[in-house]
Amino acid sequence: MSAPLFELGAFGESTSLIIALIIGVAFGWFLEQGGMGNARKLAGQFYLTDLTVFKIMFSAVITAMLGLFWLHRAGVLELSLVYVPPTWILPQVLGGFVFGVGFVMGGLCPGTSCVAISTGRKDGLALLAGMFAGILAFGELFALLRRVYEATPAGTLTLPQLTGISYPVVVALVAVVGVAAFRLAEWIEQRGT
Amino acid sequence: MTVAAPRAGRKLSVGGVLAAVTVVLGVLAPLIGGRPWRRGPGVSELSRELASGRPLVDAITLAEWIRDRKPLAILDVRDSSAFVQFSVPTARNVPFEELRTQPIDSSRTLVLYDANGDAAVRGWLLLRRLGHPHARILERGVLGWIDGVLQPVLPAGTPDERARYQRVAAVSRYFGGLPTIGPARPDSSTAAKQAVRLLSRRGCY
Repeated sequence: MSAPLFELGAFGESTSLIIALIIGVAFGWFLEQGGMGNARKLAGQFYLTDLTVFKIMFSAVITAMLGLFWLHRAGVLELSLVYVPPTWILPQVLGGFVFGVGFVMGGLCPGTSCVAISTGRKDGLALLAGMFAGILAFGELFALLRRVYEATPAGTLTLPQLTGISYPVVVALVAVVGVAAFRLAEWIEQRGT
Repeated sequence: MTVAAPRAGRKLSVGGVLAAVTVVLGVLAPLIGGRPWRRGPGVSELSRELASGRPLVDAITLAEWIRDRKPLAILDVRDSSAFVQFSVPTARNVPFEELRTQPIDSSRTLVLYDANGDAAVRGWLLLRRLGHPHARILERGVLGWIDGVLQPVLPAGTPDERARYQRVAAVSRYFGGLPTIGPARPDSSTAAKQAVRLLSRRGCY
């Protein structure tokens, strides 16, 4: 096992930031290539006329899932060391709602607003300003929001844990459902045009 | 020049190939994928454990454990040059990079230390997530050992303070230390607190 590289001490914090920058730029470049810097394209998701966002998300989920699973099987990656973000039910439901409202209104999410700025779109700039205003307001009001922020901690949850289905079977189900959902998305798009 | 047009029925799109590969890799997972989920506690559980302070062991307690021959494996996670210059008695040098690959007897209590506690906390996280149940961290690492065992400075005004001083002085002298009576040093153990802050971060999407 030689990965995850950072967790196993292959490089330090400063190198990890440089690597994060490179991965971030590559991520942004691919998002832009996929048309994710365009608010109209993203808004199409909500009107079911353009399901590119859905397809990109599902592709990413399935690629990462199969990659992690098979790299572990090949002895390259130690799966138990991969960081799984913990769940806080109430703050994440509320945060998801605020995020969703902002996404529908602005047509961009935080990542794609940065992508939009890179191609000179002013709406991206406006959204990024809003994002920093939100971060500032959250930081200043944190003492008031703290009780909500720390409410309903559920620990680290995974699908095998929640459903009791074994991990490899979850991988198979997600892969098959993902491909089916992808086909369904294309069918919905074709029907709309 | 003429180019034979591919027959419509045989045309394979990139998307079709990728979909087929996805399904094949997915379906093979339960058949030949084994059961890879060998998992210790999650990050939030470890964060709570660290915040409780339970994984930390102070230098005097560790010194008593060594003196009393408690079954221990003390791991110095600094590099070998620092280990050669100074180490805690009975410690074995396992630099952080080698923690993953070195055979470690998990039936013994593992105590990790480094120069001041930071790398030891990371090593502790690594071992706990890999499923080692009895791992501890020497509070403030080598600095904690020097301040706590080799050069302890403790007040001895009240009977409680005197009893504590007697206990510490006995252990300190056992390891060749020089216990002194004086005002206590402020507790500057921050490594675990910093680690808790690091772990408490929420992902950014």
